[in-house]
Amino acid sequence: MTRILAGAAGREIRHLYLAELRGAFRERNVVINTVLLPVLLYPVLLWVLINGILLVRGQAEKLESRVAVASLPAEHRGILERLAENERIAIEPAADGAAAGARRETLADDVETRIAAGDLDAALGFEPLAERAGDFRAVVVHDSAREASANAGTRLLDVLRAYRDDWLRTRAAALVEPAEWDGFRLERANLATSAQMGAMILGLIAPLYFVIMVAVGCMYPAVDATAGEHERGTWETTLTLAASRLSIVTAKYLYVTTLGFIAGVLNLTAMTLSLGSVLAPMMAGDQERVGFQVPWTMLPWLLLGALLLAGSIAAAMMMVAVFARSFREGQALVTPVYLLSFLPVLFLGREGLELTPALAVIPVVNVAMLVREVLGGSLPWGPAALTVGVELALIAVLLAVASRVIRHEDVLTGSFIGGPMTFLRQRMRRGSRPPAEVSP
Amino acid sequence: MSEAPVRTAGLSKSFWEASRGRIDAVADVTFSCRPGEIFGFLGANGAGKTTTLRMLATILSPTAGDAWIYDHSVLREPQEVRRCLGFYSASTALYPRLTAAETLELFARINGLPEPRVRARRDELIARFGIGKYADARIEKLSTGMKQKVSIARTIAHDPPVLVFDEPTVGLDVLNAIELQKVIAELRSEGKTILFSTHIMSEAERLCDRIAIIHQGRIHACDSLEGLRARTGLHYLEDIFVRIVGEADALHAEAV
Repeated sequence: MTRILAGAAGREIRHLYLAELRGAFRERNVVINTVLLPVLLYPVLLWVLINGILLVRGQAEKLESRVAVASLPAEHRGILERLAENERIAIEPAADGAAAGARRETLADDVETRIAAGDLDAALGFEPLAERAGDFRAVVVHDSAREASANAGTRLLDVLRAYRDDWLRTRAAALVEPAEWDGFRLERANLATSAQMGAMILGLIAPLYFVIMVAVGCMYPAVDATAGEHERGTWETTLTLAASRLSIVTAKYLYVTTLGFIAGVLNLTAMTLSLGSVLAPMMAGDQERVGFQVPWTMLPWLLLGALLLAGSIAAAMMMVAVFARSFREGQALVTPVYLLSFLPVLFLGREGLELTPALAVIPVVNVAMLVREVLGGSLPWGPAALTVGVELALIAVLLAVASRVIRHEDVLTGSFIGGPMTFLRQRMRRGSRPPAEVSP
Repeated sequence: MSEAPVRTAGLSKSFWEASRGRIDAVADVTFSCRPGEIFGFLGANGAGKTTTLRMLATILSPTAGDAWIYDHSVLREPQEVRRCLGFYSASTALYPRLTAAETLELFARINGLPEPRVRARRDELIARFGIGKYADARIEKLSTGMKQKVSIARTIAHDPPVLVFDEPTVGLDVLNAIELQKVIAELRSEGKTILFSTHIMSEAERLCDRIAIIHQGRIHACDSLEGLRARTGLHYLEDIFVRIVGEADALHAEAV
């Protein structure tokens, strides 16, 4: 590679590569897939998600919960007062039998039918306990499959818990001094820093979208640089240039890799910034604060990961795209590579998964895991080095195959009809076809 | 070292098709060009003109034989061949997203024009073809006539001594075709060796110093127009062409 990039070949590759890039950034589809989509995807997704949640929540909050209370013990009439104070709760009369102190079965028969029919959202019933006279169990009946009913159940429980806490406090105060129970406090301590929390969330989300975006970034340019040239009638023009075939293929490969790399890096940046500016403030009210920051020391590894991933996906896509003679054929050939590139990553969402030597030998998955580790601020050196080695070897093999394929004149000139499998079948059948290779 | 800028020896090209088997598109073509002449290939569609010229331009590789451009073999030194050659055909479109100026620079650079001369050559060509007003416009925005000018300019961007024009007037209106013929004649007067293929008799008559009549992949006659007239006793090139092709078909029928 060093030899290629030096001297005349390097000059050829540089000029061809720059011409490809210059042209690409004047193409709307390339700009959309490589720049706009990776940058806008997360803000838009988060905006839609958050607004959707707020809308649903808001609508649920506005709804009045119709609840019924049955078999209420006389000393707890205060519950009714508390419920009446809540503007979002409307007390409906319970059935006669239940109101008169029927057992839970009666409440179930009557109230559950009304809840299931949607006439009532939730009900509160009291059942005496056998252990001691006067003791009881309060039961909240609701239908979790129905948003309004689930909401009503929660509201009832909130009111009931608050009432119960006050009641217990009053009873306890009669027995011991408040200072004594105050000596047993409950607190929760999270050892993770806000940055670590952010890294954990980012590590779960980022790898999948990162791989998808790199693949999206490579897809259009791979088809554009091969089938696109046939379709525009510029392929023969390119072949008349005094550059070696290897230089032409290398320049196109570097162009596809560059766009995949740009898409990947922009995507990671946009994701980090979007989560930091949208999600973090939303979560600030919770017990844990979350910060989305990528450690600066890990940036070179992220860039390397993006480069390796773009390099391998670009090589795989180019290898099949060289068979295409039109955009439609190109997209049909490249789409399976696109899907194959990110499908394994779908299974990496599990928390606690680490980059092990076994995962480091699986292409694409290894880079996705490397990115995940790096976002988490850790770097297992052995598997990371193995990942780099495996990806470089994969790129070398794919490019070697692509350069062998392109030497076949019919593929090079676009007269070959079929995809990689047809090509393999035909070339493996010995003597079925005269050799038609061109000088590199 | 040969004096002929372009020569071929037994140049052949076979294709393979599943339905038709082996097809000999070009068979045993041998000719040589003199410096500064326009050498025409006259033949019907599918005669083998384009395949021959594509082999000379190293787009296709010969199945047998060889060709040399200034002693550079198309088989062994394809890049050197491409540096010595400018190739123009109806199927070599321009890069639509580059501007005319960028196109000229790219072709000059890649085809080996020394870097200090690139910009001067670009400006010279822009002035020569009158495309200054559109030099910074993307090719996709240009009119057909303007694209044609840029196409010729990019063909000679690296100032090659040999030019190949493969049916250059196909699809052009009369005025643009005449304009192109003028440019080709000018290039000859500048000392370029030009290979020109056509199936239009009047073009061949008007432009070519020598004409090779190609039919079913073989050259059946190669001479100046006067030489062809003397050989056949006919005046018009169309009649000459029909006679020679007819004789070739008769010979072929006898052989079969």
